[in-house]
Amino acid sequence: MTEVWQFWIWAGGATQQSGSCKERLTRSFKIRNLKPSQYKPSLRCVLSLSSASLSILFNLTQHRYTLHSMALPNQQTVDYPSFKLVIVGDGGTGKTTFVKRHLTGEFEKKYEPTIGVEVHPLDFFTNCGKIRFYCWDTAGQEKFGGLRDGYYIHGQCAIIMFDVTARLTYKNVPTWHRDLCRVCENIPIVLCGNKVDVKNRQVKAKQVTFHRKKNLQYYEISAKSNYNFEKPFLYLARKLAGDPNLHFVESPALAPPEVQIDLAAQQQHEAELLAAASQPLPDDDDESFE
Amino acid sequence: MSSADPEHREEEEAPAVGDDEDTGAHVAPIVKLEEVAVTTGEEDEDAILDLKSKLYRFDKDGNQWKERGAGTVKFLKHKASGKVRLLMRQSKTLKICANHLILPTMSVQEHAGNEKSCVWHARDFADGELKDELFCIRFPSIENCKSFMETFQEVAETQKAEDEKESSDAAGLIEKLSVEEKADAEKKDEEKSEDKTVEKESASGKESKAVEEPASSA
Repeated sequence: MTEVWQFWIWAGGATQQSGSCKERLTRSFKIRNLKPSQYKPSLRCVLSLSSASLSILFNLTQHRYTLHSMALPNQQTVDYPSFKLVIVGDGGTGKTTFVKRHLTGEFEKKYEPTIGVEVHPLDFFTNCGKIRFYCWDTAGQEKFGGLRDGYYIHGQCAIIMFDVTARLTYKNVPTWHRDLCRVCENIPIVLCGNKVDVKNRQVKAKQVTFHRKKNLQYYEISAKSNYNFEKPFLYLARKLAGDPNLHFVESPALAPPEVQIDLAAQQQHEAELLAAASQPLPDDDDESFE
Repeated sequence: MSSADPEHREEEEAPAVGDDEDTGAHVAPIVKLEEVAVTTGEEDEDAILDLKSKLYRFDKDGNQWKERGAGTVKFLKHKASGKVRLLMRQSKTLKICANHLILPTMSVQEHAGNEKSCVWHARDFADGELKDELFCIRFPSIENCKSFMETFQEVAETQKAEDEKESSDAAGLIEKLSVEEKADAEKKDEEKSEDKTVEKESASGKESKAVEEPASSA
């Protein structure tokens, strides 16, 4: 069961936005066309703020549980350890694609800018039991930033994502790191260079040095090929638990229950299967198998 | 090709060194976790096939295949009941991509124009609830795909034969009863775990609905 909390916060009064107030309201209530996938959002809150109410909301973010009780009423307390993981980085670096890869297994090719933040719970089974990361997938584009660093409050670990095929996204890493560390002091942070599957990369592995200066961990990853895609979570889990030997183990596979066979339904499935069999697969055949 | 190789090697070497090295700052751990016994759910089963593969599910709304995960697919035969299920796990994270029984009515067919892929329908239990899914699976080689399809068909036919045998075999009544008792015990265990799962899901489902209503009214 995958749960999703999403909310858009449009700070209409705080930024120098063009257009009338009505236009801003219209934009703030725009509902994104979410692509159908395995999971569906369970909560969407659209909050439009004037500058006067901004300060109130910022006060609310200081009280973590108040914020949760208002903005995330669907959140349940789980009886195993859970952590707030903040994911930041320039727009288009693959933050949302990376999270989605873990959630559903899909690789999302289409770029759709994240607005504000999307929070996804992501569970892993380890040799020390089950753990959960609440992944706060933030907007990378400034114009969709919403509360911006307000989302970092009480972050317990973080990922800074850049794109090895776009030099500018690596140049901006120090800015993301600075803003993050202002709010979250002394938390484990992983720097990720994404899209290493692309042949013509602009930032070579040897050129990545920021992590050594700031004591971050660095992983080259590819959300497309799944190269090193589990490493950021494994590293953070080990740090949070203080256990360098922690590792992922098999999720328990419950025995499937007996299924009653319905002949009419079966015929329909066979027809659907015949149609589906003619649709192409989404990725290239010559990809490597791990 | 020749130009790609050295570049590939160079890239592989650098991360290998980096992976072992921890360049992160020392941070105080915020939780203390004790080691626990791992239950995979496969303890009472024998693997009769184990292959690397990539799984897709068909998204009806978008009319397209979507990746579900890359890892290993297994046919697991239960030691007591003889039932066979298909279980696929994702590499590295070891999460479950597919988990369903192989039923006598099931069949697998080739994916059009691709000798390394095949498709089937199943009621999948990967997420802890039964869902109708159309699956496609792709293998690194044609041989592996054939092996999968042949094993799938053999298992389905075997299940059919066993079903027929059970219904017609009166002489083995006593043995059948003891098997049923075991099966009943297993079902009870399954039902308990299922009930817990269902309760949690129904609870979250209700909350989800309650939450979405005010949003729509606003």
